Amino acid sequence: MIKLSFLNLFRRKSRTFLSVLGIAIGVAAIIGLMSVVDGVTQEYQSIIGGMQGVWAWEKDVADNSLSRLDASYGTEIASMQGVRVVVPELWLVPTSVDGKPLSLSEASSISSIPSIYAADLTAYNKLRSNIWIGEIAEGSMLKPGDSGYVLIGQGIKENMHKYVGSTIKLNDKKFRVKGILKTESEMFSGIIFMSIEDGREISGTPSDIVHTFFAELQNPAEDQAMAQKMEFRMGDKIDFMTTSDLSSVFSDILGSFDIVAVLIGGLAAFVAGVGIINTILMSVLERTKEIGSMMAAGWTGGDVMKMVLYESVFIGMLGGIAGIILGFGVSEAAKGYGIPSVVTTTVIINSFVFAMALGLAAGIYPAWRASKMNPVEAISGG
Amino acid sequence: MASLIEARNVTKKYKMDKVVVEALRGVSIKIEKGDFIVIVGPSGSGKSTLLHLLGALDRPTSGQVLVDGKDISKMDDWSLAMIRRKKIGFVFQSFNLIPTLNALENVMIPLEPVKMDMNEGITRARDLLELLDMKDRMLHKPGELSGGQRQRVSIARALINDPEIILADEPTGNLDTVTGRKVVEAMLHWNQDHDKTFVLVTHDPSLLDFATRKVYIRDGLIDIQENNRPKKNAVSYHK
Repeated sequence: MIKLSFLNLFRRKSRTFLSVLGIAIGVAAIIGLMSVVDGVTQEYQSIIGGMQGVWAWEKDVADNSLSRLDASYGTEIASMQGVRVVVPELWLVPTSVDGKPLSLSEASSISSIPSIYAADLTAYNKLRSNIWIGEIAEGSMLKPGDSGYVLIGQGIKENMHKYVGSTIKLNDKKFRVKGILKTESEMFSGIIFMSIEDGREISGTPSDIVHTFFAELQNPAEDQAMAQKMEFRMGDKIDFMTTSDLSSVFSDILGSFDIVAVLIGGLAAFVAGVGIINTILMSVLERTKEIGSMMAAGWTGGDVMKMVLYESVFIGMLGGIAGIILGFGVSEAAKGYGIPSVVTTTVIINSFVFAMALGLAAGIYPAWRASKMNPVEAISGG
Repeated sequence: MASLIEARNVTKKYKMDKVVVEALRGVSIKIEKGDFIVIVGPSGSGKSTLLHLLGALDRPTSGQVLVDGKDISKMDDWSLAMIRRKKIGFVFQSFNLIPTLNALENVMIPLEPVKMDMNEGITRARDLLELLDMKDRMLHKPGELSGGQRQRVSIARALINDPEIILADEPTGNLDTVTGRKVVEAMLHWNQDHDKTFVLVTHDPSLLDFATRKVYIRDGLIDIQENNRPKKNAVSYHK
């Protein structure tokens, strides 16, 4: 019966092909979108996952680069029991690179947009792990007093052809590249790391102002309690967020993207499902006489139903396989545009099961119609 | 001994659009083991309807159809399918073969829902096709076979479940005289040498010569029903 059902699909090749294509597009849409969500999550976790502490920024501002805090707050945070190190930070976007004004329209991908992270190097070097920038692939870490030196992300290295020892002019100041960061994360690969003093110099930020503080804790497990204590003492001026909060905010945002991905893909798949119903129904009606003679030969309505359902599940399976291949293509294309993207086994399995289930669901009505045929009418062609 | 199939005062009414058509108006007939019954009658006389009722494809409007003594008129669809699967084989005028399957696979179609060892099914189908002179055409698809060959495939399909009775609706209707005669000879062979019971519905009066019993049907009623020759005898179907 399975062979029979499979062969039936090839009687009208173009019709079957179009149904398979419909499912494949739906599945590819789901895989493509989910792969981007998973890719972004993975990249983010590789950077943020290792950070354990509390991040402080100006109350009620929308973005860390817009935050302005009095530098003296750092001392106050550092004086609290349980705080190990406090790192003052600046977040900047250069106005020109190597003398060329930075224009967003010139940027061909996310990774070619440079952003500057400047930190107090003395404090930064006391941290247990490298926050925000991850590990170093080539060259070495900036040390306190390393004025005029930067570390650059992979994106800067590749797009601007910079190596350890190269010079890079940011706004009006020339820097020498001391190291290349390891992360290939598209989100972080455009980062340039420098001392806070250099950051102030190129951006004109006064010495009594910082953008944010990162407070590393003696006991990372107490981050929620510490954040509450800080909130209690300085909550009128500063928002405190633990890195685990940051992760969950990020996960929440990505979670909504997940839902959007499923909705878009689901809609595409629904349309494809209607296509399958049409294909199978047409194919059943064309074979009325054959089905009649099967019933005459002792096939029950249930047997006929099974045969038709196999056909629609086959369409779902073929669509699923084609969709997975297409989905890999979409994911690769996303990578080409600098969007992090990874196709996980879970997504592949779920998409395949979804495609089969869609095929099965779409087959129910035509299969029911076929099983309810009156054998006498069917034999004479309905 | 109970008849294989017996129709008792059977009527059948159809609704075509808004008109009620009375296809059978009180027909009684007994099919006994070893019969080779030929039913003739003009178009619309009700002969195919009678065949469908005898073959448990349909239920009568009134009267009884007894298969092995059991009345099928009250049975559900599943039970009717089981009767057809175990006891009855059908041969149709237009063969109704599946174009994507070869002759051997077409013959095996009735075995699909039956739990049977695949190899046994293949052996059985191959043996049947060999006996029907189709040895060299087993792996050909219906499109590659002549009308007579296709009908022989459909006879093999009707025989694969080893039914007691084979019902044929205009089996020679789409064939020329010579080919049609060969197909009927094949059926006679199974009737006389393998003790299978046949009921043929036809327009062709020349087939009446082969019948153990001739049945004339007109306007939904059996006009004449007469014995023609003894079973297992008399007719030489061999060339």
